[in-house]
Amino acid sequence: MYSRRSLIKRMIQCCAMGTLMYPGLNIVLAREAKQVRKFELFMDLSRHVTGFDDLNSELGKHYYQDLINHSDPGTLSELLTVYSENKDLTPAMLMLKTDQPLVQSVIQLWYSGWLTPVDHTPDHIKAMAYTESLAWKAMGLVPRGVPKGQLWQAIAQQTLT
Amino acid sequence: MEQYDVVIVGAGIAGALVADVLAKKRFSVLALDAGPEVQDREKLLERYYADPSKHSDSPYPSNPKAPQPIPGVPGSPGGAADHYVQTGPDKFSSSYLRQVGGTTRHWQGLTPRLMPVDFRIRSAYGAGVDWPLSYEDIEPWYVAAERELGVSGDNNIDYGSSRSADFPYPALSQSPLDRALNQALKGAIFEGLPIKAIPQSSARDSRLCQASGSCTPICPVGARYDALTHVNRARQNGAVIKEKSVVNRIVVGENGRISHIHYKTWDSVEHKVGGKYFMLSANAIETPKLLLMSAQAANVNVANSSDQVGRNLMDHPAQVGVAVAKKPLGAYLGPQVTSVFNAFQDGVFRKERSGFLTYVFNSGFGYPGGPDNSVKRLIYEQGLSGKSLRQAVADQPRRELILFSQTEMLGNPDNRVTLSKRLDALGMPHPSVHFSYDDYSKAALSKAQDLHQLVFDKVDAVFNLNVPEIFSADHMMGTTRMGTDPKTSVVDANLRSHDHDNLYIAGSGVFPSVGTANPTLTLAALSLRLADHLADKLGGTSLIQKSGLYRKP
Repeated sequence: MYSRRSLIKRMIQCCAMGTLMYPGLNIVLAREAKQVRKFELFMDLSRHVTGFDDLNSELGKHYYQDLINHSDPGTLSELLTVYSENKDLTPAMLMLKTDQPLVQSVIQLWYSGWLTPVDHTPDHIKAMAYTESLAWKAMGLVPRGVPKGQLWQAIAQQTLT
Repeated sequence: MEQYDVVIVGAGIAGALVADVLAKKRFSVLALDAGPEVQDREKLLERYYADPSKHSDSPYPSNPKAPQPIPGVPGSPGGAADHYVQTGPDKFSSSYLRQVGGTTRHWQGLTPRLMPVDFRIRSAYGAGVDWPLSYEDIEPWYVAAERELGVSGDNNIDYGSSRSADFPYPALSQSPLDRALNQALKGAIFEGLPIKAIPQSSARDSRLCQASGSCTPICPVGARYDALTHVNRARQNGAVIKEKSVVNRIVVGENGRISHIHYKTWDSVEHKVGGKYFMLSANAIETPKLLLMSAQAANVNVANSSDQVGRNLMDHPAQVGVAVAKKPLGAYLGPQVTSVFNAFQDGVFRKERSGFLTYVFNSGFGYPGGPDNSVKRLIYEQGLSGKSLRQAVADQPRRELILFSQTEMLGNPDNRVTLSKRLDALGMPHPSVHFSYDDYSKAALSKAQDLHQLVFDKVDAVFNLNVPEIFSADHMMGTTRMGTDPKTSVVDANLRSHDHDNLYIAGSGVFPSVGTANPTLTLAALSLRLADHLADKLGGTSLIQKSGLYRKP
């Protein structure tokens, strides 16, 4: 996966130097650009259905890949298409118009950080999925098991006021 | 064959405390543990974060060469049956760790003392079994244990157990949930007594605690005691601590003394080691298992002329009540538990039924992980999404309440650990467990339901449930009971085997009856007392005596 800026840079370089030599390169680049657009659409959809504007795009890449690996690609693609054409729909309306379980899976991924357990997902990614999960952010809390950087005796005093 | 003054089997809290005391005295000490030694807290934390199921063993996975029960409520997938071979009628669900540091690696750190009457329950109420020790005998050792473990507590509270010294550290502050409950319960009476959540003493250093909410399974800042503290101290003092060393046989030599033991390392190499004294502290399941294996291997009696080894297995059967209050109570803020309802532990009712000790969990329904189940309900059952979901997640989990009431069960010789025919990766049998809950405890579970309901009503619960399953408090006790009569007990008041004068057993397996208090502080106190006894036997005055802090019993 590439960022938009690196992709554009790469495309310019390739167009200048490579497309004449390798006619098939245009097709590869077009496919990559389409993937980037789909991922950005996924992030946009995620913001819409979770109620959070500031989502971690690195985690988003893993979630997107997780959904590609573990859901019907056609259904995912259709969800993104419907969303791109109906951005004014509320999340609830969107669920009615598309595949509700898939939308709910997207929401749960972000809120719980539950990547489908597969051996090749590194522990540090799964750990990040937990520590960045939205449930804790919604509650305004540091995730359980993460140091708060403040003593409980002081925190408890603050809750008295 | 290597020789040591003392060979310890099991480097959990009992083994580590004894190893530390004796090593300080310059006695040679070897402690063997079946499991691995993992010191890297960051690595353990990453495992905890990365495990979506977030159970009490998430950082400490079981290994086929030293398998351990997998935590779970009865009947749940992956329940404790993975290690136990259960023969019913009820499931025994208590979990433990096979690790250097033992089960204190994942314990919650709660440290109530037993009450004086718990030591003479038979004399007082005609139920259970009296201890061969009194509360007065053990009180100085409670003080010693509280100092070793760094217990935080409130000196102004009467816990029903008199104290000869202050707690080492001030009590952890009560949580917003504790305060909300006490506010709602003002004037409430149950069984003729006021209901009030009081601060619970615990082996969590109140000067360090950041309320990370993961006391079980791992404190990220090391405020909650675990026995690696004493493993490391013992090693610094010269003790040898070996990981991945599974003891599989105790050999009885001349005059009924233990001559040596056999152990297998995880590479399947067999070893032997001798000693003047041997101490078994492998917990109330693995210790009787080892004694029974040793007897089977040589077809001789090993500490079991009473036929009590493995019998009288006890837990603290618990009633769990859950509720969602009308308004936020402040759940999810604070260490997992800061307060307890302790007024219902004792009374003449103990002739007929157990008392109970009720913990208030600050964890919401997410114990010991996050609010995932609550979030799932909001997504899938209530169909929420977007901003409305975000608002609901901010609100609903904070209204959750868990009450956990643990009761006393009585010793029953038919509740027992034996050897199964199923073998682990090193060829050791898995423990077979025959277990049933008794009416003495069940009657108290029913009474605890009434208390829960009253509390739920007082907080205007919009949902409440006394969970029908009986829960385990993860406290294994009773399988190598202490007593004065060699015909009915395994060890004497000094924890020495009635059958072998150089064999000792430490841990909650020696409890003849169990009260309702969590067992770790009591077993730590008994272990320190045993360390002192062994130091005497080995020909020296222990440092603990020299300090003048503790009255020798």
